[in-house]
Amino acid sequence: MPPAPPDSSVGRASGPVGVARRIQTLQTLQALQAHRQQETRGKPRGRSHALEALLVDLGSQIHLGISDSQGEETAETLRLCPTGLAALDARLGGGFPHGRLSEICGAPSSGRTALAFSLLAETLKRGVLAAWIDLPDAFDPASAVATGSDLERLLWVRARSEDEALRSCERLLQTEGFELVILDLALAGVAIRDVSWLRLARLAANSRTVLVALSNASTTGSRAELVLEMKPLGARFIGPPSLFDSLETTAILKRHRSRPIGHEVSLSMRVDSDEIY
Amino acid sequence: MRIACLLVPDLPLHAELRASPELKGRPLVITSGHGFRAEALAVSHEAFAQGVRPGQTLPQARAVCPEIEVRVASPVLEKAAREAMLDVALSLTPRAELADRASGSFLSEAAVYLDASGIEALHASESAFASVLHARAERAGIRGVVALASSRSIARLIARHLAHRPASSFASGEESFETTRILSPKGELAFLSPLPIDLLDPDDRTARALTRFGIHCIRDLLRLSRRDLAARLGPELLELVARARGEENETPIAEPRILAIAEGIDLEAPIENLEPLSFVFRGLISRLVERLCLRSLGCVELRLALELENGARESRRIGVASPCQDERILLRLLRLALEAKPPAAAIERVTLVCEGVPLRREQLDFFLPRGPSPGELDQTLAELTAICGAERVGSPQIVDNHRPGAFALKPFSKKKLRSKVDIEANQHIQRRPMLTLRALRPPLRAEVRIERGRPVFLRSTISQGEILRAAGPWRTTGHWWEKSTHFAIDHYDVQMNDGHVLRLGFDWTTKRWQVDGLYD
Repeated sequence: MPPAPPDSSVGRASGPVGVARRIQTLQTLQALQAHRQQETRGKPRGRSHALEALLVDLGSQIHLGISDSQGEETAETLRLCPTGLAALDARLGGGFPHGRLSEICGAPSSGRTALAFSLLAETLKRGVLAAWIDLPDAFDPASAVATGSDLERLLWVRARSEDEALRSCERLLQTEGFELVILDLALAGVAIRDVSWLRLARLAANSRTVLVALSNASTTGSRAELVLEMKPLGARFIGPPSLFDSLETTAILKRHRSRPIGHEVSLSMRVDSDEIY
Repeated sequence: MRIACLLVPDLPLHAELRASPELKGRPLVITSGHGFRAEALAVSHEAFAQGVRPGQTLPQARAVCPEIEVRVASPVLEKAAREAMLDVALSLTPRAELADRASGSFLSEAAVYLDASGIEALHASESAFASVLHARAERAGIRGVVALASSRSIARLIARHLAHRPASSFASGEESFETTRILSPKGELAFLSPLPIDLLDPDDRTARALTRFGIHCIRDLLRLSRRDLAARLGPELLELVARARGEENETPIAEPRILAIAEGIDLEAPIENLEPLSFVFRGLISRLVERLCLRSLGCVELRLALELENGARESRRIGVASPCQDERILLRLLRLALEAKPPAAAIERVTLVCEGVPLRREQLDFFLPRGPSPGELDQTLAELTAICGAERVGSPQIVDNHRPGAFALKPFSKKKLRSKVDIEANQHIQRRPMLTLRALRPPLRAEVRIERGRPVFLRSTISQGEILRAAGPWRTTGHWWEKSTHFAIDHYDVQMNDGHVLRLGFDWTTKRWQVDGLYD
């Protein structure tokens, strides 16, 4: 008989109890693996598949525990950085977490940049410093001002290559005092290795910085605390005369280590033509 | 008036030891040049003990002591050491000055005068003050003697007497010889009387004449009538007498206003790579920071001057965000500045000048988070500049013109950040979910098919296909008075069949379509 699956909250706890639980979970995992090997030797594969799914799920939970042990904060005590969009903040439990790697991904014209700008404006409103590492060189100062960002507190780094972007990001995360670092990688063909994300996540944990990656498709894998995927629903034109009014989009919580995932939040991004033109 | 004199007898030797502390305890000779005819200008205790004497040629010195270390006298190091002596003096009193250079046999000595009037209020006694001065100079790599008397000339005479002790004690390298001497005004004459006349540094002609007259010590000189001396040996001799009596017309010592601190080095062999150069920089910065600490100043700007092998000169200015005494930060900034723009050829001489300002504590805001320290922020910005280039790191600014996509990048600085009050004044900006534009720099070339005055099909690298909906055009023109900068663009907002919402533009100056940005 395989051992009973552990409680789903295992691994998130920190301290001696958390360590004991993690050891217990690892032992459980090893037992499950041994059992799976026995199963695959001559038994039907249906049960094996179920176990495999359980292993995958447990793997992420165990990883979560290890990740939590890097910082002193637990999921319950994480400081959060709101986006200023009430519905989305409610879904995220308050906003993007400090000291963690988060990701906003989505297709072009899905509103991911607008969401990042909203987060930036809300952060800068508190009088802190933020940085925008811009690999595609797409940052539009006029849009930033339109969303209410105080540009004096923003450091814009216009990286020319992935290497420059990652090195700049690392350096900024080593400097305590930048509350938010947005790493804009929304460019076709960008591939960041998992080990780089691991390093950035650790640096963010040390400096308690909100690190947000902006991408076309999710690239952070299991290193991100949360992944928000933006899906475009369509553009709204009004008139006549024809006028581009807003972009309807949906934010889907694809990954979150302490919140239920899969929920969708509809957003309507309005064009502020006075500021943009 | 009470004057203290800090005197270093062999400045070339001590300047070299200050720059290369690893040579301490080894037989060292400072020569006048590189060739075989170069003479030893100064020798260390260890070399002296093995028979090397000032004035010997290099082969003679090597014959006596084969293992001697030889260094050529460096005016750059000597100048820095002389200024460091002044810094040591200024760490104890606000009024200090460098003494005039001596001549003849005292050519290699350097001296600093300090106004020690009323020094008992801060130190237990004049003797304690002299000891502190001597110890502080030694800590700064300058080994000298200190004398305290009622005038500059007498203090210097006493210091010379202490420094030029008998050869026997010098050779033995004994450490217990007297390094400080305090003389009350009443005891000065009695102390000076038996001292040899050479200490007054007479010129050669006067020295020969005095010897011919049998005048060997100061007592002999002071016993004679001034009028007779002047009649027989000329009016120059009266200066010697005045010097011996401490009757020279002396002005009070003024407070110097020197805030720039310079350190330099002549490299033995030209250096091409930055890695070995960083060792040189470390020594320079270390000495620079030591002097900054002595004067309680912080560095706000470093000026690096390089003399290259091909005869060219290069200079760099490295700004520091706030007054800084941190060796690591200054060294890092220096390295990054050179990495960003390496020198064109191998380096022969390095001079580092630091602008010092009084240190001040960082003023924190009651209501704002602390943020990075100015030094740390400065270092981060320097590193980002080295990674991405100076023109690609900074704070974005909207420029005051109508050119689409115009922006400026100004240096990011924490100093100019607004306070909480200003931020709260801006809170009236009502934010709502707003769509933003992702700029395409430079704009992408595009081909557009127009039907009945409306764009209906787009071909570009970002998107290709049917245009479902379009709004516009909105014309933006400007700089019509200057052909080279004139712009006239018709903008359209278009929704493509693949979901992209783009901003198209038709540039009337080039008569071409372009994609200016992506709504996202």
